[in-house]
Amino acid sequence: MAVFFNELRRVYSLRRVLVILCMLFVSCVLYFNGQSGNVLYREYSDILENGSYNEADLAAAGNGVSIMLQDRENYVNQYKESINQVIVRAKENLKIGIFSKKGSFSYNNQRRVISDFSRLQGVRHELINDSAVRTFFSYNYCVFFMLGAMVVIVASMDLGNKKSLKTVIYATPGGRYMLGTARVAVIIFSAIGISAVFIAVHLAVGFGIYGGADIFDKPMQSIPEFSQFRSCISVGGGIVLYGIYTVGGLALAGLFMLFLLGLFGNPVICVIVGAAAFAVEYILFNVTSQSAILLLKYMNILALIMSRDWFSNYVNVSFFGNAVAAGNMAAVFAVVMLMLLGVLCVYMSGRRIIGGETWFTKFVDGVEYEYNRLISHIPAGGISVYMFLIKHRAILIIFLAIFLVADNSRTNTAQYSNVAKIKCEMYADISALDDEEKNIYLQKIIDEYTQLCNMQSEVGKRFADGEATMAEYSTAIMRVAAMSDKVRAAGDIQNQINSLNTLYESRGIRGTLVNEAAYGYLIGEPAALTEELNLVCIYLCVVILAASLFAYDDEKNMRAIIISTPKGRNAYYIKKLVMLFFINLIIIFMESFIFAKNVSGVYGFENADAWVQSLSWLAVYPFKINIITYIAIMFLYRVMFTLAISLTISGVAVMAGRFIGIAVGIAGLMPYIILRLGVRAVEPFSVIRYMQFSGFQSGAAQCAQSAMVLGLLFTVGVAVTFFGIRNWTKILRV
Amino acid sequence: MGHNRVKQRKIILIMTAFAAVLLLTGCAAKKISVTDVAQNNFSEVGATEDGYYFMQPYVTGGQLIYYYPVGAEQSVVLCNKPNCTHSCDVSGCQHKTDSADCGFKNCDGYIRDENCPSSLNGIKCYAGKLYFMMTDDKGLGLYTIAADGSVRERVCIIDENRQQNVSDFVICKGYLYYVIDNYENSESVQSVYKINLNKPSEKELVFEKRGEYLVGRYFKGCDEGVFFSEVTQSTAEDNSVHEAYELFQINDDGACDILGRDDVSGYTVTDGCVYYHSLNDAMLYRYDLNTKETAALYKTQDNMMYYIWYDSNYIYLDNMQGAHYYWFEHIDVERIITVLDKNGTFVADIKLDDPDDVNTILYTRGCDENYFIFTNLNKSWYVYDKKNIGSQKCELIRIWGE
Repeated sequence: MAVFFNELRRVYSLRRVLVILCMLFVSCVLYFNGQSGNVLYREYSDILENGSYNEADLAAAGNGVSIMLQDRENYVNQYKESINQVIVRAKENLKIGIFSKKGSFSYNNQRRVISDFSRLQGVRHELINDSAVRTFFSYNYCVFFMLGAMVVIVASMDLGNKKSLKTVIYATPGGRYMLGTARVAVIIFSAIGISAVFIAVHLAVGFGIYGGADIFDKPMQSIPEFSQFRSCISVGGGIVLYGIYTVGGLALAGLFMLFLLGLFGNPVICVIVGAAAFAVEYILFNVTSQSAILLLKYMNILALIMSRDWFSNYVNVSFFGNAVAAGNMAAVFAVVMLMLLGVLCVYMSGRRIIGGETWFTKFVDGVEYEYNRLISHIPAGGISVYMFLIKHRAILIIFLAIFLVADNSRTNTAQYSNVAKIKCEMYADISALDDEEKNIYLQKIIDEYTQLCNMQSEVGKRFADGEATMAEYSTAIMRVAAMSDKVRAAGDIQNQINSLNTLYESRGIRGTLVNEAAYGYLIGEPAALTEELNLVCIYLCVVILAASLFAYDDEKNMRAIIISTPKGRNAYYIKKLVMLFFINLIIIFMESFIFAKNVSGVYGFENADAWVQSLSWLAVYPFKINIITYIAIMFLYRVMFTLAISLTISGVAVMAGRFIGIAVGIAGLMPYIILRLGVRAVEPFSVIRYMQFSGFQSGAAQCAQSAMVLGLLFTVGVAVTFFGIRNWTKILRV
Repeated sequence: MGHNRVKQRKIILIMTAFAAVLLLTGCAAKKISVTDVAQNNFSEVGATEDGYYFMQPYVTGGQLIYYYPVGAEQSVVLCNKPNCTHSCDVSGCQHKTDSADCGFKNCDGYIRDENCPSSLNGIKCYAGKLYFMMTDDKGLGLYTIAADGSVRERVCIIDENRQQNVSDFVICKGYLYYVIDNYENSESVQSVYKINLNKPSEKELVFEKRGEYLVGRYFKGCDEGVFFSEVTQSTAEDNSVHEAYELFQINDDGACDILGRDDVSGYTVTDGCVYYHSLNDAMLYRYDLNTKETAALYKTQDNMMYYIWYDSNYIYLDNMQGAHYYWFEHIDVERIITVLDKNGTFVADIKLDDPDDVNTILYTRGCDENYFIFTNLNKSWYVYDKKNIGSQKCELIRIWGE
């Protein structure tokens, strides 16, 4: 036990606890932010919290909340009937050949459904204020932050840079297996703690917003999403059960990481293998419900971590023809894997031979040597990059940010439409035509459509009189239908041409007829909406990286040595900032690349050399530049803006410590969060608004304001950096 | 010694993990039969010994697969989950499989089809498996589905760009044949492609035709090859519409017009022979694919179009109203399916009742030894029990719809 408590004390240092608390805070802020626009749930909760309501008045109002209340009442009243219907359907299915072959999954599934749903017939539930629980289960990012906290715990068990300590551990009697066992116990303890704290705090935030903290003893099935929840337990019991699945997922993820550390020793290789394993898990977790390997969706670490996605569903999976509850499958998998990985981790901890050379360790050492040799050619900053990204695990923050960006970009991307597709073809057709020919081209389409409409009317009359055949009539209808989208597209393009003529008359800028679809999703208003969460991720990533810039040096007590070397004072600080600049550059480039790639998967970027005023929403833009230059300026602005933030945060972190730096960074996000809560007055202070750039830069005043804000922030950044450098070199004097 | 043990242990661990990943991802290649031919006496319906599979569009998009068991009163959605409602009432839902709230999230019978109207192509039965086409995020592809709907697998993607609309397809001897109908500036372009299902990357254009209005349909695969009929519509100077119906056979050399006629209103292929109806001659012919001899079998009514079906005993001449609509100006013909033996001797007439008494068009979707299957498109599906042939009973059993 002493080994366990010592290891627990070491792992849970104040620094790590603060990091985990920061993650909890950010997750809660995102959750809270997500509820800002949820007026419907708030009104619903308010009504239920206030006690009674007049049903007749609500029905007469016909608004969203009255409909929601009526739906919920219907749900309560019709619940038993709906459960009975499922049982009846299962019994009917047993009479159908393809579903009733004995021993088949279909047959066993019907029997299992009859058994499970018969239990649900006895559930007695009522209308409850469950908004907090519903929104908690629909919130996506809590599990990612819990997983991040778990990574922080396991990463502290990497002793790769404390090789002498390994030798000491191995030399102690029983110190090897004991330490391994203690670490397994710490990971399981951490999984329980993280899961309990994160779930409890998020629910507390939810209850704080919506109320309804008295629903824990109500049946789980009272919540519509859990109508087919197979266990007859209370809401409190359901949340505990969800917590247990999450504990299983986090503990398995932690043990798997520890196992990789024990197996490979090198954290770089662990990250690569871990990423590959995660990719396989992700693919398996996303198989469809008709997949032949559906079983593996639930026998999967990711399924346990992401149990939120399937926890409320009634799903049975085929296990050699037997219908097994997905939750049971996941639970059995978790228990077996926890025991297996636990034993393997203890085994790897105890049996590894210090200093032994194998082909594998030689290979790893060789790769590391070559890597170090390569980066040693980069003056000074190279080793810093390596230390910062790998030794200090900044790369994990970058991976997390890129994952969130990729996920958001995948779900919020350019939308395909038939009219847009036709417009793309039309743009291609008329690109080589002069203005008059373009008008003729478009007018021809409109004339043709009018002619077809007339023809359809005429043929319709003849068909009604029995003079035309069905073939003629259907052909006429088909041709009109085929033309309707085309004529809409032509109308849009005609309006665009008119706007370009107006632009030329008013400002003398000869605009180009540009296909706006792709640019709208890249630098237009749709981009501002879909890219918002990406920019929040980038901002937090930049803040954490900037605040952690010198943390490694301070942790290893390297500062005194570094600043005592020739050129080791100011130059080291500047080189670190240069390194941070390039890392920021890469992150922003990656985000832009992922986002632009998703857009280009739907629409093409053409006429990038046209004047930016050719785009309708940028017609009043004050500078006569082309679109590609505008995009470059937007990119550059974002880079400079994040650089200014980095300078400020890193300077604050050097002067007041890393966590103060992170706190200042999060405080900088507050205006954006308040803006999302509906307070428009704080919009000029929102950093995300400036990072969005496009959509807000249409006029001269907006451009001037953005330039001033950037200038001001940069000045602050330079000033803070100046004080930061002075603070950095202060130790020498002490 | 210690080093060797460590080395062995690591190798075993790594190999085990690798083998487990391979096993879990099920990477073993699945071979498609190269000897079977598709069930060719049905159009858009997958027929098995136990029942029939067909598709119906769902009201807010996508398709539902239905199953009608032989002898049953009603068809059911092909989903073995009794707790599934096979519907989605979430407003504005796109029915994407990764949507948490969608009612179709776990429904085995639902097909979310983005561009391609699957119900036009329906389901085909080939080598004991069911096949259909679907467009999803990966593109337009061919899929196979288990008899109880519980397992669905992608066989191949034929168009990653999701731009093409397939109007019919058939699988024959390991090859997929499908037809693309496109409209380009008031001109129709019809293309027939062939894909080796065991090497899906190899796509071959076997037939292409341009014209005013073209439709390629009724693909039938059999031992002798793949057949399809081609409808060509053209407008003369006096605005009269002329339609030509030709029959093509696809073999190793490409597609060829085997009969040299443009009045083939319907055809079927069985026992090495093509049975076809000539509109101009008002005659049912049998063309032997081996001897190339043609025999006149049965004189039909003048100015009538017929579709032709078969089973092990009979040939059926079907004066399908839908076809009749297109060719003639009058539509008030009595719906009759004439039963003939394989030599063209008259056996009986099946005079179908109008199921809804509303004079709707009843499209035949095929027949086997037990039933004829009909639909009046998106309203209802019916079966006619062949036991009633020869009797006065002409009742249709409604198996789906209002």
